[in-house]
Amino acid sequence: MTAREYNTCVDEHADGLYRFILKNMRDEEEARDVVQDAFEKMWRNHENVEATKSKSYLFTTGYHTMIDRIRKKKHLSDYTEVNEESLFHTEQYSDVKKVVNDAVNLLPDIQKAVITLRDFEGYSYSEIGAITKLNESQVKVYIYRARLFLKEYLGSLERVI
Amino acid sequence: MKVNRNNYESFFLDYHEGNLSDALKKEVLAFLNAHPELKDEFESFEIISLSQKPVQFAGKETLKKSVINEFNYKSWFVAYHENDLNGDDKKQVEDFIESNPAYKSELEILAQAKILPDLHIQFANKSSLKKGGVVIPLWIRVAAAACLVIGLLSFWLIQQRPQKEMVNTETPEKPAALPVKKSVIEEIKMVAETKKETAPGHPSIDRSHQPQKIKAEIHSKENLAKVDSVPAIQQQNNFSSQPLADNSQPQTIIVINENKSKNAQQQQKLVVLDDNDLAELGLKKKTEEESKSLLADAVNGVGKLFGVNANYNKEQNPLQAKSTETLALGPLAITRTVLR
Repeated sequence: MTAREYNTCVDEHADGLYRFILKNMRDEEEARDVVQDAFEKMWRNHENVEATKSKSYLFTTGYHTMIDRIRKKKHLSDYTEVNEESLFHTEQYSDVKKVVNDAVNLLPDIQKAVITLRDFEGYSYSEIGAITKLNESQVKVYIYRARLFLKEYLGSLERVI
Repeated sequence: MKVNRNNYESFFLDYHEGNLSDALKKEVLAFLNAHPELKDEFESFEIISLSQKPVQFAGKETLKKSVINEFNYKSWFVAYHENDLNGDDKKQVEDFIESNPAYKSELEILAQAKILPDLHIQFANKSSLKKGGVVIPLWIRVAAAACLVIGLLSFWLIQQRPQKEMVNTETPEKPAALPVKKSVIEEIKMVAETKKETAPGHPSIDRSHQPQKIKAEIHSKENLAKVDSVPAIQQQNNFSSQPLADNSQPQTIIVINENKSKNAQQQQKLVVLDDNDLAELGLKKKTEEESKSLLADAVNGVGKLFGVNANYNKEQNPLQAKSTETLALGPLAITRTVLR
């Protein structure tokens, strides 16, 4: 990867990576650090990274950097069932998108990460698997469970309204 | 073999299972008649038989694959929205909804269970991530910054030269003839028209829209000086004169909308063009605000080019008849007050 290709990569993917990390970490400063760290790592290794695979490299590096940081801050909640109490909420919403965005924050970290990669970047199961080091079936299960949780959350909201 | 008290049990069992021939069956029945105390035991063999009533597994449907039902529809619904289904399976889901409309709302809610990125969220300082480019030595950067400072300062000082000073340098030796104004305007028009016509294949310029592009060359009967770039004249604080011809010859100075100069026309051979004259030529005088904005943009642009924070600002004080101008270059700021 040349410096020009690297800089193009910055223009094309810095925002997407930042949004993905920010959604999962919910901390702007931390998210910025992770993005900078990911790009630094890619630059250090730019001679071995093909331009066509730069996005995948970035998201993989960014994801694992993020996970490391989250683990340092708290014990990472690997896959666990969603707390049933989180399905009960009394907030008044008028925007479904906002509800869904709030609900995503209640998901276990791994489900949140895979569903964000899926919805934000449109990655396939295998691509998400490559980034998160999960197999395709696991990715599929996490996404399905996350979707069902969001559906239940939205459904319970409709009942409240 | 004859039935007797030692082997009757096996004959009874075979009788009930239908394994005996008719002759043996008759023999078993004859044995029973001879031993009526064994009749109860013989009948008990009839009771020992499994019920033929079929037992069904209730959750058979849940075990089936590739068929949507009320036990697995949720996964099918998710797969439907994830585009994981082929055409036939999608049709299955749609048929299922048709035959079970109660589930339709669940499918609709699931369609909304997707998160969308907020595109307004952007990484603030992308340029800090970029690499490469030409490495400029420090001394060249310092030299460039110094040149920039000197250049901007010179430009600023020249641009701010008092008007009177400029007028005095161009005082003609001979008095000007007042009627020359009309002929000057006519000449400017004529030269502009001539230029427009003599440019083959060149698109015509609409003077009303681009007055700055008109350049007028004036050659009056009285050896008028060449007046180069009328708009450039306009930008200089409502006043300008551009003596470009040989100084030894009498010159006509064109002054745009300068009231003070009207009083001095007799002595200075000045041709004063007011707003109406300019309009007739298809020109428009720049306002002071426009000039200020243009200069500020230019300074700012040059500063950006060299990576230096450069600003220009001009503040008018009508009460005290003075203006204060500030030229800032990075940490350095120069302020100048001009009395009007």
